Amino acid sequence: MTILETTNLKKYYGSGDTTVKALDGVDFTVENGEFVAIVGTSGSGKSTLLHMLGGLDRPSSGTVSVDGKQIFLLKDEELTIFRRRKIGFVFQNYNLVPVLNVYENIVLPIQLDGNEPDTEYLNQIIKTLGLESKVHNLPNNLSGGQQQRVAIARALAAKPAIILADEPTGNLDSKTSQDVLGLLKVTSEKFSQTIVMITHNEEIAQLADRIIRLEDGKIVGGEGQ
Amino acid sequence: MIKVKNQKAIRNLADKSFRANKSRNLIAIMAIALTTVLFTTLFTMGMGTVESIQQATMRQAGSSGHAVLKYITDQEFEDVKEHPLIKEIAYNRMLSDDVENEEFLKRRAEFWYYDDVGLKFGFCEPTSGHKPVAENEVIADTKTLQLMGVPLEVGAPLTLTLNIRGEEIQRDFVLAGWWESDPVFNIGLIFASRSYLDIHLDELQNTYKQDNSLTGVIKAYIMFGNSMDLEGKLTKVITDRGYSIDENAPNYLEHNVNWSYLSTNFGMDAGTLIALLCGLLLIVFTGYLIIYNIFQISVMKDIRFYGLLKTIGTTGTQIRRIIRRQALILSAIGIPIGLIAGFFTGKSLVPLIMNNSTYAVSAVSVSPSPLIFIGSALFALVTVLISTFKPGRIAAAVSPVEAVRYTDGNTKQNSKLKKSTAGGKMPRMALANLGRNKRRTVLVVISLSLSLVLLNTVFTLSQSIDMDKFLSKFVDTDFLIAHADYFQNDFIGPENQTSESMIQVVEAQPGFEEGGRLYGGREELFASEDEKNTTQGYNINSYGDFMAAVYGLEDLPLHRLELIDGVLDFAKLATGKYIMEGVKLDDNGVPEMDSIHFAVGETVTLHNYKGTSETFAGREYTTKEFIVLGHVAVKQYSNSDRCGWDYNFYLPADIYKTMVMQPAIMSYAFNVADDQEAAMERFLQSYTDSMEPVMNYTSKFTSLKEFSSLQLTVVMIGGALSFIIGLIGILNFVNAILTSILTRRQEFAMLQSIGMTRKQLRRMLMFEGFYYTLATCVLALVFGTVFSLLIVKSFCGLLWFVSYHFILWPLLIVLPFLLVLGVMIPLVSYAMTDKQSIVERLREAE
Repeated sequence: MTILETTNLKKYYGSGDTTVKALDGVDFTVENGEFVAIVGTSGSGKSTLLHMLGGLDRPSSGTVSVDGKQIFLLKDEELTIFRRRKIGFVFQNYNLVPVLNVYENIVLPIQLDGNEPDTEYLNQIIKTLGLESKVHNLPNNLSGGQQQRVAIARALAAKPAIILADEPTGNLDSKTSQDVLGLLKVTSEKFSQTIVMITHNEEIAQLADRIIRLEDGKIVGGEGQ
Repeated sequence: MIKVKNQKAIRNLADKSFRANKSRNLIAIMAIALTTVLFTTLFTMGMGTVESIQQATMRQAGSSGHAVLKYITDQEFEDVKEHPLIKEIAYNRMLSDDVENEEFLKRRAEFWYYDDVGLKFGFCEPTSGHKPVAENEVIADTKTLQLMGVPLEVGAPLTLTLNIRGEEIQRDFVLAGWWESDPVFNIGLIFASRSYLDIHLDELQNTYKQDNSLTGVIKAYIMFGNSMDLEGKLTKVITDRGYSIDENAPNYLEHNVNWSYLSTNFGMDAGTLIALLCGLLLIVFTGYLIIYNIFQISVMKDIRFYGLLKTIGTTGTQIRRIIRRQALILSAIGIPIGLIAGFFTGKSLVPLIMNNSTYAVSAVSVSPSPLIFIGSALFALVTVLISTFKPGRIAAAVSPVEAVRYTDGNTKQNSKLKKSTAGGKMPRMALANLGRNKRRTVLVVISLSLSLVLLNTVFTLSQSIDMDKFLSKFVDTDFLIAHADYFQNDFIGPENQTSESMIQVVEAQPGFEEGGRLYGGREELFASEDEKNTTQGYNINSYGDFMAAVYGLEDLPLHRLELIDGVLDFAKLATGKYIMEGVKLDDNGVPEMDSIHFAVGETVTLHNYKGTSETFAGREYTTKEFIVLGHVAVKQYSNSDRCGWDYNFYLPADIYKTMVMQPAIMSYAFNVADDQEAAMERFLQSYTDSMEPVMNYTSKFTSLKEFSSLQLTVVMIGGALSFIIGLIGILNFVNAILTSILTRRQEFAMLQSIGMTRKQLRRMLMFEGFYYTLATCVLALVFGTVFSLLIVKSFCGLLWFVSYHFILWPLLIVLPFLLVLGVMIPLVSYAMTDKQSIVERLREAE
């Protein structure tokens, strides 16, 4: 089952001679449960693509469908609500809320939605990510790897249709990167979670089920399916 | 330490980063300006009031000189005038014992020669025409000329009947100039020229010590270098020149210090000093609260920049200098704005203070003294420097490595653990956000509360001003009419008694209910025997008896006497064998029992000078005995001649009238039907304006007017101050909210990306603002209550016209507005910053 589909996705910045084509007609699909890596050098448009997939930014043209829904037909506020239900984010710089403890950070998207967290499921995630002893800690008392694991837990907590990870290991050393990625992969399999990860690191990309290569806003390799 | 020429680089850095902080600069300038406004207002008000009071007393005293040598001769004048302590000395010579023109019966006039210094000291330099030069030229004040019927034009002829050592001499003069009469100085002045003095030198020989004649005596007003220790300086001048300050010595010089300078001590008594100090501290604190906050926030925001500077080799001292330089630039802009605004605010408030002092008739003068500006600027600058000291130290102490991770909120986390699970709920999250920078939150809350507490205090004071207490001091009956002099504390006797014609007219007015005359006056003075009184060394007549005020009251005032002890038996009083002794009340209306001279039942022997002779000596010294029936309150403003005698007695009018030759009506008290009070007020107003202008009146109405203007003053001055402090508080709040939103832009973007809707974000911010104001409310209520009960209450006890009432309603009224503001400001601030897209804001961090 296709969970994510883009058609002829374009994002241009500026106009006329100075037009920057950040995305220039991107088409690909992601199946349910897949772990896809999007690789490309800096400036290849991969971050822009991720932002489009997550509905953080609107494309110049083209569509993105998540779980069968064309997300850009939604209004801003609807899109935000859609995002917290269907999409989980993992950022390079973790982006945890400093005033909330680990547990509160993890359940934040659920609480924003006004729902009660599924405690059993949460405990499972926390256990899998090895955060049991840290649930009451505030983010700045955690190491980078721990923070990123919290971010992953947060992304998983709402059982989204898809997790978008933006250079999740960009701020981590290689050992920690391996750990975090391993966990990401394990959890995606365990909770049959679809993951789209962007990275410029080929080695890390190798962990994915499938690699999509982006260059100058276009898919140049890998299987677009 | 090696001296390096790095000033330029530092200056460059300071100026560049200064320019990068536009919104902080704007708020900081406003804050500094407002703080300066407060200082300047306080200083202007203080200086202006002292100055106005001093001016008024000087004009009453008739000179601005520090001291005066009286009745001296030319020789004595020559001896002292070059003394090194004397900065300026005026030569004023009296040219006659009196001016006998009959126009001056009611308002005396004096004939003098004043030199230029004397004219300056006496506030009587001619404003039109010129100073007298020729022998027959004179200048005079306008009211004197008006009384004489002399037109205000140079060259107008006038004739003076001079009394020179008892001899009447008529001389013709022409008018050379004039000046506006000063309403507080009730003596006419006519000045002749130096040539007149020189020509008539023969008749102007000083014979004061032989026959007390004033003709030719010199009054030398002296101005010293400053007004410190005037008594000592004056003594030194006299003794240095071989004269004595001993009254009985043959070489005695009569002298005294100008009492208007003695009253400068008023400006420096302990209470005023403490009040001033408290005011200054309050302002420094208010200023500190906001300026510190602004710089603290700004340093936190730029902490990475300072870390970077450190990394590339800027020392802590240099960073501190950068911040100080910015503070100085901001002060250079903010302080002058504040000085100007503050001066005018203060200046406009001084008349309000003056109107409620005893100097109400005087003109208000507030000169832009450099002292005000220098003082205010200095205080403001010190406040700024104190406030920027700590932020400067933080910036200077930052370690280059840490600075990169240094963001608002994770400065210092004391608690590692946070045991809660519901932090994601908006109200909780908002609360947690306020806890990020507890110090800032606390400062903002204190800053906001301060003005609320002050506001409440102001209203507590103004509401506690007790109308009944106030009125009972000034009015006893609905109306009191008397000669205008009576209200100037200058009632003498038949010559300025209340006119019978006015009493008749008043009694015929609609609504008139009852009235009664009060007789008294010092024209036919009484004296009381009192052997027990050995301490009082004044007001003793040649028989060794004490001067006493005796009043004769008709029924209404007699029945309104307030009995303190004994009995008030009107039948007994009517027999003429009994008398009531008056007891003075202190400011709080409590009888001063130790001022009682005779116990109830004791016999008092009263004398008076009965007869028509000009001098007391030529009259018969009568004796009459009374038994003291009881004590009653002397009401300064309703049943006394307002002079404050040591011995006061009250008798029924019929008895009193038998004891004096010419009973004088001191005043007439009367009551009016309630619905006719306003009409009577209007009638009296127009009657005393047009029909009998020398008569005047007081009423509950006029006292009420004074009462409300007193209340208004407290509210205006206090209100102005709490308004400015409130403005500072709100500015502080806006600044705190705005910067907290700005610094969290990226965090908000993240929150939005994980699914926080704009609505939820707004709700969170609203809660943050709400908590600020909630905390402010709680603090203001608690602190306001405590402050009111502890400090305001005891302060109220010091003022006789105030009875403390605990009130909180001014706070409660303001609170809803504050709550609305607290919710609106974050929303508006957010709307202003919410222009960038999520992606842009997310990227900013990378």
